[in-house]
Amino acid sequence: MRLTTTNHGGDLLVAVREDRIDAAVALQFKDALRTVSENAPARVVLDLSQVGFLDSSGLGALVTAMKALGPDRRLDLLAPTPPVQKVLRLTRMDSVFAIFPDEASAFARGAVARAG
Amino acid sequence: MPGDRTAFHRTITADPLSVRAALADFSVSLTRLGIAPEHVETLELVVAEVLNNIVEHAYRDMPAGEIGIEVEARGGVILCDVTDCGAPMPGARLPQGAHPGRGTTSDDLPEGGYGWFLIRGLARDLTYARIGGRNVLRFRIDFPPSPAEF
Repeated sequence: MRLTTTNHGGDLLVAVREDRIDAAVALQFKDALRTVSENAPARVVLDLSQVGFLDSSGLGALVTAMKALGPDRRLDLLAPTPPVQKVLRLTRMDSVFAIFPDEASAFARGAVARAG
Repeated sequence: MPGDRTAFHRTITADPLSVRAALADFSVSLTRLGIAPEHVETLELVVAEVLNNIVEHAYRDMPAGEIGIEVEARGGVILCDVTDCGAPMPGARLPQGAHPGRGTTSDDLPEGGYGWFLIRGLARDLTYARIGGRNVLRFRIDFPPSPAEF
């Protein structure tokens, strides 16, 4: 499970370098996110632009990661592909996570306040 | 396309990587039928959830057995039969698949339960039977899928 991390103006940008977040890798994904989350700043942005498939196992891992960050830190989603958008919409998780279509909107001044 | 009756038959070992391979083949087969990508994605998702459930639950306490997958595509409808020899469904019936909810705080947000919610929402005529020591799950997906319950 390959993740790359970058500091982006004080936020932690985590890019998922896998094309599927599914039952086969859900545990590794959870572990990898937990590791990067331990010392994460107040905002973690997860770049999903390379992920073409997310099932309920992957979705559960996203929720676990969000909860692990605790109430004082946030996990936002960046550039989910259409199949992933569909899963987020069908499960209504698109109202739980703030979702940004691109880096410009994710890191624009006031983006977090607008995302609510 | 109307009147087509193309079969996809596969028997796989119930492990996540075999499921991935079956889903890839399944997607290719559906794409070859001329089904649009967004519908193939939905179909892959439903079958993934069904197969994952068997891997995780039916064979939880025993070595990974086999899963039989039979799919027919017939004029706008996909008919799926999925069979396994794992443990029977608890209570001999399918989960209701209600949305797991939101909890009361972010601490309570459910991490599971989304699978059956997705299956229930996207598949039609979902039936389960225990026949001769096997679980038989049948369902239909219309394409374009019409998720009426969402």
